[in-house]
Amino acid sequence: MNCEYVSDNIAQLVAGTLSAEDAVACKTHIAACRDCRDALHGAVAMRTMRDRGNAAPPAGLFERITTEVTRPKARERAPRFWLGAAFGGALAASLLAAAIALGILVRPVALPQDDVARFSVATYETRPMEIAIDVDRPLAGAKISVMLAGDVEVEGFGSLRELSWSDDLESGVNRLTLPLRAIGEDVGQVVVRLSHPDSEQLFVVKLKLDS
Amino acid sequence: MPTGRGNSTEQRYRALLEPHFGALYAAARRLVANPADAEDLVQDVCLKAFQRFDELETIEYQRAWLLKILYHRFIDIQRSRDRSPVDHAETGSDSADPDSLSQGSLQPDDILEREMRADVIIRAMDILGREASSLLALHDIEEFSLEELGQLTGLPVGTIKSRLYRTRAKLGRLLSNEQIQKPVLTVVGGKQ
Repeated sequence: MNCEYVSDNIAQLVAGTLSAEDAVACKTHIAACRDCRDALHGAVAMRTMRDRGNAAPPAGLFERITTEVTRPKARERAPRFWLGAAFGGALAASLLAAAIALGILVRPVALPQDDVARFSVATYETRPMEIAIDVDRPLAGAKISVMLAGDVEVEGFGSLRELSWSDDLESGVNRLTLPLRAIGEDVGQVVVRLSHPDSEQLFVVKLKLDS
Repeated sequence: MPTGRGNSTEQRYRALLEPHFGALYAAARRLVANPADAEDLVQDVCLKAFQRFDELETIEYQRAWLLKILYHRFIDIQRSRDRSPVDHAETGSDSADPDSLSQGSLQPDDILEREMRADVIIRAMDILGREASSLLALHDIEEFSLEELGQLTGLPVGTIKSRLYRTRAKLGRLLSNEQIQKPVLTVVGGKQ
């Protein structure tokens, strides 16, 4: 009898389906092995969760959820782009950019290329951060990547640290909306990268946690 | 997210999802006592499945994949709530579905004790992290075999076995820790 045998049979031991002889042998080992005692404690906990039942979904729930999920509005939980004004320089895609409070686009703020925008996030609410990308001509197949550093997530995308989309940008201001939520205290920053065969542009938004 | 494929994509999505929907809902209800929260959790998973439908269609163990997403999402929500100053009293034993209290052979006190115990276990799963917790849950609660989990994760069976053992032991140690047994304080009012 060893730890591996106990581990292989621990679920049956907890369920009471192990043979009497094997159960006695397992229990004897467990009594003398701290790790296996802890593992048994953990296995009993998992059994407790399993015993919480096997509830059937309410009638109509599948239809309701799949309809909700596949309709265009649900898909709009992903970031979207809108179109607008003009922009100078090939794909120097100068980001006109904007840090916003509480989801309201206060005003587009022209930031120097090396400046850093700031945005406040909160742990208990999702706040849409809007970034304006101004291009001087249509850019087909531009790739937009959003990289998250720190305890922050884009709503609907769980713990994904990098999200990428390929989109056709039209001439003018294209707005990217990211519903952000803090999941910890060290909220870090968001880096938005716009790349195209001609060029690449990075934009950094430092995050601040609202207490 | 699927794009440019019209209704046939939605039909294929529904056909793929439907056989697993009951398992998703049951798993959600085991984690979240409140039916409305469980439905929200399932909807999050269904949305993720739709966004990653191209990938999901190619996976052999689709149910395990979906359930893994569900456990990951649950831990994410749990972490977010744990760090919020506002206690979400609609989950956990405070809001156990009244219908469940009259079902089965358990007495109400037994059910209450089990639900309180489940709250502590969930806090411990949160501490374990979503990868470890979901792997253990998929094996011990959802009853996927070591081989199936190996296919899902790409890990050798021996590695899965040792991870399960270590995670169970860590969970057991966490549950022995008095700190985790303490109830979460509920914010009921106040002003800044």
